[in-house]
Amino acid sequence: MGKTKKKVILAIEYVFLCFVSFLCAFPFLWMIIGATNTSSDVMRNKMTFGSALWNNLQTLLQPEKGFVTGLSNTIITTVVTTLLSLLVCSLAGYSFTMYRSQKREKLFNILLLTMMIPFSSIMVPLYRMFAQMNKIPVLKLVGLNTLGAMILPSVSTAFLIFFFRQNAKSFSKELAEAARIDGLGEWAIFFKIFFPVMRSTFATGAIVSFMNSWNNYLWPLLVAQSPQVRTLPMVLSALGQSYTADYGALMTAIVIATLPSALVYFLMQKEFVAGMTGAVK
Amino acid sequence: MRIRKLLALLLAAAAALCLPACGGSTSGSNAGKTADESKTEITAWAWDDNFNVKALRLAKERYEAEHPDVTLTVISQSLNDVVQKLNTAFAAESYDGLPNIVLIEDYRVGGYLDVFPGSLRDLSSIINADDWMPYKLSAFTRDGKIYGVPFDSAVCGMFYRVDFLEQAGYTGEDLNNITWSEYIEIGKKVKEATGVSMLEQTSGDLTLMKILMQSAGTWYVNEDNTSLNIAGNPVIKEAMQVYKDLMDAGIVMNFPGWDEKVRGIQNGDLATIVDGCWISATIKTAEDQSGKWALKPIPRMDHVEGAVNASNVGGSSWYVVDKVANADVAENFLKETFASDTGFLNELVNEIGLFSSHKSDGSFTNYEAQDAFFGNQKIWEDFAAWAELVPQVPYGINTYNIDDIVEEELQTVLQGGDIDAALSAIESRAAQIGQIG
Repeated sequence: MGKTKKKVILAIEYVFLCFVSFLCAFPFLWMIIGATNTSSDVMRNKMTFGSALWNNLQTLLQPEKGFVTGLSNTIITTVVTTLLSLLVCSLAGYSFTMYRSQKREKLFNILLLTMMIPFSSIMVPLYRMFAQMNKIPVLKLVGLNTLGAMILPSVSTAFLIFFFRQNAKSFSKELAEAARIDGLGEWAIFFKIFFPVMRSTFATGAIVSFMNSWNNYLWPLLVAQSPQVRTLPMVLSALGQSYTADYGALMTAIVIATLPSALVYFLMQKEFVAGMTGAVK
Repeated sequence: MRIRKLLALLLAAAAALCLPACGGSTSGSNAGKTADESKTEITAWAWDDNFNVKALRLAKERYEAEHPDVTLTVISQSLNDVVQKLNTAFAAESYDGLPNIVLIEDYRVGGYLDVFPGSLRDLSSIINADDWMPYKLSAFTRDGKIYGVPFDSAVCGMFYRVDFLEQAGYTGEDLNNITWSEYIEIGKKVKEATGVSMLEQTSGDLTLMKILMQSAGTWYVNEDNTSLNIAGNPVIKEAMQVYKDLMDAGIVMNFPGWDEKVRGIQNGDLATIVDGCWISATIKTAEDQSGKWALKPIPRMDHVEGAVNASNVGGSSWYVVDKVANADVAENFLKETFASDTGFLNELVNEIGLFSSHKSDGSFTNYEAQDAFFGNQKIWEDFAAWAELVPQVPYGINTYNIDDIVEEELQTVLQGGDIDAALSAIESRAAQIGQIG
């Protein structure tokens, strides 16, 4: 009797889980179906695959839509931001754990405080700053209306520094000491010992940074003035907001915009979980 | 040593990636200026490829043919993005990269005029006030100075399904210049006879409230555009009562959003639509209903003196950002196109269904077109005639923010709450809103 009872409970559990996963997966399914349908079919809630994917793609690729420019700008800013922020934040987080100084904790607390300030409150001063940079020859490269201006503010984030610091605590100092005795310099310890050991932490940091940068909207929107520097979220916003939006093309654009994030996550999923739970190899 | 090489390589790679990114974009933005030194470049922002952006592109063709030394760059982006960027740049007092010409909604422009004085240019010299409907100009007139050039205006009308009203025993004559209480009585009969709802209400959309307020010459604020005019305002009080009577009569169909509303129209779920003239384009997407629709003036409020059977909802206008280089050229562009070229505006009636709020001085021949969809009625001629009646109201600087509050308090009224209390609550909450909406 006990066996049947267990089976029933198991069945209920599975039904429940199926239901929840359907709830989670449904929007994605609808998005993919929408990408293959015409705008009026999407409006009609047509739930079967259509044949308009090719047309939708062609609409998207019209030069005035700026989709290709947006995609390549997003790829450039995301890759550069991810690489730079990993380098800067891991070095900072590493130093916060490995080196002692009197001001260290205070400095770190101030850094954490910056996490509490909402972006919208520093938006206007930050904008002013970048507008000023346009007047200085070298800084012009990262002034308003450049991809550099989108990258720079997210290169160093309190969250990533905090994340690297917490994980660096599990890195054994003996290992670093031993390396030092063997004659390795400080840079070498970081790149040859710390980096390989903390690989999963770096992977997690990369995913977090990638996702943030890929979906970043408000700041890039403010600094991008000409269509040539628009990123993908802005292109999507422009596609969806006219009085008569082409929903088929919009869905296709969203599918393409979601793919890289999904790919990056699935490829690094194992490392991501390990990084979040703080495993050291 | 190898580590140093690695580090150098990494930095070089980052720099290499960065350089084309930054360099490419800066050269991109300046390309127009460097390509041909003799050309003056101006920029304009708008937000709908099929409507205002299309109008800009047509204006550009005309203007550039006359002025080969000027290039106009038209940038299309979403309305929310335009607002966000203007707010930030004006607040930062940084005009770098702002456009010369920008389209702003009439409900929103007061915020820019009153909170950031001096950022938008005085265009009094290129606008002849006598040519335009006064209610349109008042949105962007301050101290007698006109700061904008009208683009579109949404004078209101009541579109109705001839077949449904006939089934309930009404002809078009019965709908001429009626009051809201008469409208509700008709609505009940229509619902009885056909089962179809008389009106729609879309959640988050306070169109009807704004139609009612302007039809009776009042708004959330007084003439000074700042002091609130909500608590004890008899018009808003009656407007809330109209909402409640409509709901209590059970003749209103609720839609969760715009897309559902469009589907409702296409399905034939509604007997009338009371909205701005631009809704005609949406109604016409229901091709199978051609010939079944006609147009009458909106109902008028019963107990308000001076209330008329005409109103306006929304609309937008062109502005010149004063501190951006070449503002003079931008001003001249507007002067020769949207501000004075009635031939062009007449063309836009057919191209994009534009109602510009320019007084019809005989040059708007396209208004006389008979529309088969509306039973050969000359709907634009009617709209133009009703526009003459629209009362002038001050829009203030916070219309959209106050709308949100009104919508919440309206719910308590619909559930039987006291209207006066609701108005006081709206006023005290509205008084706490910050400056920019």
